[in-house]
Amino acid sequence: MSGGDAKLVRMANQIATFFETQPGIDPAAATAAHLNDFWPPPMRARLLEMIAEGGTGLRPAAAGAAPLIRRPGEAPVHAVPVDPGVPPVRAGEEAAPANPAFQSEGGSDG
Amino acid sequence: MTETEIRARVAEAIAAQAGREGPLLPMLHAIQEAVGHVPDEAVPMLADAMQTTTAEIHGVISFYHDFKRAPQGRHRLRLCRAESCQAVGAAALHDEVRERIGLDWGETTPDGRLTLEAVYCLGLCACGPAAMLDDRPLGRVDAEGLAAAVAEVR
Amino acid sequence: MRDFIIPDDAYVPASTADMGTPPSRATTTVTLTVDGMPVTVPSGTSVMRAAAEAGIAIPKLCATDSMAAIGSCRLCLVEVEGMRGTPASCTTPVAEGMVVHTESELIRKLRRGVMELYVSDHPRDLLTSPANGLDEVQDMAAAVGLREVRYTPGENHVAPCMANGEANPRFREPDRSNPYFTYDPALCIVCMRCVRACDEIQGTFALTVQGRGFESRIVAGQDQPFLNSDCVSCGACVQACPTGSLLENSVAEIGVPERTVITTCAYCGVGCNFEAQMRGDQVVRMVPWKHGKANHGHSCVKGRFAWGYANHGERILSPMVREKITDPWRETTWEEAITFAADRLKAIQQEHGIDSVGVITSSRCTNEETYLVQKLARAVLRTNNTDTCARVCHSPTGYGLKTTFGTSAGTHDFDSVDFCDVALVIGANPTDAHPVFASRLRKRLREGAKLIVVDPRRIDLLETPHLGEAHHLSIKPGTNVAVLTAMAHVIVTEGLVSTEFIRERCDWDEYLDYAEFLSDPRHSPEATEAATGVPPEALRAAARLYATGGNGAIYYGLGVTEHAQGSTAVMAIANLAMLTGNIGKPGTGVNPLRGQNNVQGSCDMGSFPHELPGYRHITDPVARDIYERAWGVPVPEEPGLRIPNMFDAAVAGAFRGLYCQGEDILQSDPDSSHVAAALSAMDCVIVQDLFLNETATYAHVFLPGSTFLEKDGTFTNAERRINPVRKVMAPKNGYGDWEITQLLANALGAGWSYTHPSQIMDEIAATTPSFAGVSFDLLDAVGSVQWPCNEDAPLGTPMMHGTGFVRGKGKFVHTEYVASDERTGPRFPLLLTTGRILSQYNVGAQTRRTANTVWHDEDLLEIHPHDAEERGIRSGDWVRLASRAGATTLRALVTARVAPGVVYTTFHHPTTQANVVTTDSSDWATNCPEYKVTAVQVMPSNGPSEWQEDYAERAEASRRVLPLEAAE
Repeated sequence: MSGGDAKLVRMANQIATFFETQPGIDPAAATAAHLNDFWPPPMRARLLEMIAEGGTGLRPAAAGAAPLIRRPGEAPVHAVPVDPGVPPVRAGEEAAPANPAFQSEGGSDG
Repeated sequence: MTETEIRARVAEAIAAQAGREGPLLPMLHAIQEAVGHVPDEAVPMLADAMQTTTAEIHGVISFYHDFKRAPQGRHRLRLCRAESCQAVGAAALHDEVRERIGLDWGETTPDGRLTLEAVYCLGLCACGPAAMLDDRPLGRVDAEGLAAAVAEVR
Repeated sequence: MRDFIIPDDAYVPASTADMGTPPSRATTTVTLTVDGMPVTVPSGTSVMRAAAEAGIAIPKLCATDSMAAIGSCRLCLVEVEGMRGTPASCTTPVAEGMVVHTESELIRKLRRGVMELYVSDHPRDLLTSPANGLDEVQDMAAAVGLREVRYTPGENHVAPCMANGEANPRFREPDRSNPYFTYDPALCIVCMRCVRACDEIQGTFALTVQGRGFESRIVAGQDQPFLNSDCVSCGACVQACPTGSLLENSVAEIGVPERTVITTCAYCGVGCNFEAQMRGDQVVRMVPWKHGKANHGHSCVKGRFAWGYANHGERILSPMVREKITDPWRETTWEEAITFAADRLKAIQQEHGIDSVGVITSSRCTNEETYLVQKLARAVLRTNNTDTCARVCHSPTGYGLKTTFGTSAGTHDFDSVDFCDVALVIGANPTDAHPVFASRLRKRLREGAKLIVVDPRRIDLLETPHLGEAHHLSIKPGTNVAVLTAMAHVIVTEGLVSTEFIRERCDWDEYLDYAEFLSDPRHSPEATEAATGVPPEALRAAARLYATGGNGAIYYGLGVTEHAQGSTAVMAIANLAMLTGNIGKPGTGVNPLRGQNNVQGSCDMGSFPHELPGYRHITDPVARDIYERAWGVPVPEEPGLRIPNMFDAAVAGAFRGLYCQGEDILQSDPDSSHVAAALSAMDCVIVQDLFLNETATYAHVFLPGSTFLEKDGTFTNAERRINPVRKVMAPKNGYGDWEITQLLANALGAGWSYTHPSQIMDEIAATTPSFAGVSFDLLDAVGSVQWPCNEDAPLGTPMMHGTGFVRGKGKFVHTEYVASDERTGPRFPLLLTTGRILSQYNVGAQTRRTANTVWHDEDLLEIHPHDAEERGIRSGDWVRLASRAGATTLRALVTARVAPGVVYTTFHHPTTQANVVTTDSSDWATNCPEYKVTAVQVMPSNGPSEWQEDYAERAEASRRVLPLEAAE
């Protein structure tokens, strides 16, 4: 695996590791939400390619995020704060009822 | 005394007084008692013990004439130069004494035997002119008597 | 629900007159009569200050309003009806109905007598002295009408020789050891203002009065030159000195200043306000402004003295270009340089795609300038590839606090420390990195507040003179989350939580779930000791103190954020504050000590690749709409590259053009060989800076920037305080940084027409809700404001989350400790952590070009005696420091300040190349590099490493400059 790829795997795994420790959420969905919010398209694209090729070295939550990771070119999700309890919504789908306790001024920071 | 010995004695003196309230002056007295003076090396050690800086410690030490920064003679002759003693002729007396023992204020004999110091009021005003030789207060002194007392100490 | 506290002392008094004694904080008032005039003041005010309020300046020498009165000089005597004698007005508190007379025959006589004594031992001929015009003894002699000095000349401290021609034993030569100021004992009147300043204001206790009576004199340390003593050159003594005995060398060289401009320091995140005291367009000295809300008239050595870099010989003043980075630089015109840069950027985007270029905004430039650079990226280059140095320092603060509280910034202001009872300082070294704040904290500690420090090193805060109860948890680098979670475990299992607070302000069920998580024995101090190195009893004691000791305030720095679990640690800190109710009232809070002068601002201005100004995600439809209308173009909708991603993409050939403003990524980012490889792979690197920095070694275009003295704008400090920056001289390079960005943008077709930075701030205010009320006019009127500043809070918001969190309920996040990938092993058995020192700033670009090099002219590797002995290393030896990323060589300093197994260095000097050794390990959420944990080996060495030699050669070659060809 190339250096760049190894790095992507490591970073994706780090993110997945965090969300795996959070109660009451789907780690794969939360990982996908984080990636959608913070990773630029080329990085997401390469990760999706690696997952499609088998996802060697990726934790289940990272590999399992694939269906919810936004493909480059797809319409963006409406801004919802990255609340691990709310999975991201694709354009055209109904948003899950937003938990008002998590509404704030804007997206979270990173 | 070697430097290591000095440090050890200073450390002991500090430790012995550390439990008191307001321990700095007792520590300084104890160090001077143990070593004969307050060596410069003691200052950072005191600063650590008192959770303060060398500047503050130096300020305290330098305020009190009684704390000496350099080794003194084995014996100290202190002559009182305050008002009551002056009124009974201390000034002239002291000129004569200095002449006789060959020391000026603050000086120590070459053999390290005796240091001469000026002090201001020993609280012996009723028996002036007053003096102190080490721990011994002396009253109604004259040049003869002082010279004799001084000759006795080695 | 948001709640904002509106400050009640928002209006800035115009006068900087010395009121004599400090103000009283009492809320009750007293009315008295001074010289027939009624005056009402808070109770506890001194008679002197009350008179000053009434416009009467009572003569004084030892009193000044920055420190407590001591009643020493006896000049300020007054008569009070009903009181015997002539009390000193500085030490006499007002009483209701008091009648004071500040002038009378008796008082005149007494004051003249006092001045006669002072003048008898003071230089009489001051006409050619640097103190001429500044010596308050002159002023007071005039004020009291002194006409003769009857004392015949005798023993004195003034003349080098006595009447008989012999040397005067009481005379002392001036001490010129400090590069910035001189101490001339002949002018000293032993008023002790300097000693009191060093004690009360700075907290260093470096000065004292030696001897007594006529023999009293001010000395540093044990009667040493200032430079050899504990003095940290903060200049508080110089500022306090009434006679000019302590005087800035720049005043001696230039003369007395004649006008003042209030501006803000460009060094650290404290954001001290200064009076730039000028003659014409020349700065004579920088004096901290007493009405600065962050610094209240104090500063450190850097802000006060180290501003000479603006005139340094190495400063580049003409634009330069070159086709290849191996060519020498060619000086050229602004037009050519800008066109060169714009054409190349356009060509790269044409060939490699819109996202093949990007920008790095500066955390040292103003808010207005940063806003323009991210606007350049988004509105002109049409990419979200914009990032800033917060990436490598406090980005985890943004993520962590946004998730738990709802705002990406600190909760309080610095003044709040005056009400704190327990200060928990984690991964921060404020005496070095935020000195003015550290002085305030030290003052509070001397008053009895207790201290807990979590740090692998024994930082200087633990050596605070007159420190009371203090705890040091000496932690293994990389284990913050384990320690913080263990502290929370103690608080929950020992029943020390603030139930009332949690029920009201957080989600109770979420708390119960979190408490269950915490109670697991794996989080106990006993179980975590093996990983953290912290003895369990010490940890328990610290946790109990924070929870039950009164107002607990947490101050943290890069020792928390620059870790693989940086964001997690920030959330753990927020958890601790919520568990114990230490939020929303003065003296508490979560306070990130932001490093750079405007790193807070550059984050606020949307420098991040996923956020628009005001922390709104680029996909937020409301924000997009605002900016699309303001800028007239669609806003790109995919997150852009973060700085580490830019390097990876560059190495892969996909990222090829960079506009880097005021940031030296090659020296400050980790894994230098990777950064160098990335920069070499690019087709167009544009560096905008004051000096040819390390990044410029790989640049094709160099645009000379302007200093903070040469432009108008604003900086935002760690308190969210927006401070004004005011131009005092024309930019030596020809343009303010914002003008340069505009030139570049217009060469790319932007069509911008800003003529003054206030217009840029107006645009920011119009598009960003939390800045809606901010304008240059407002700042002129009130001095500074803390955002949010809008309709709800027209004068800003000192303290946040007063009755509710910005996100609603505070969120508890489970913080499981995950060991970093950076682990020690046989090859690399030690852990390297990095930090800063007081006299040098960050990569040292500015401070290395000032006299501050006298204090720290090289980076040293601190190593514990055990580790040093094992390797045969002594202080001063050259050692090789190696990690899996690279190796470098520097000199060692053996000290027990670091724990065994830990080594420490600073990164202020490019020759050290400390970042060759740091790796690409980073925070999971933000990619903030893990500077604080690198597995290394240390061995004795013969000389510089291969990397250092190659690098030095390359850097030198790259700095060759061909002059501009003369026009025929």
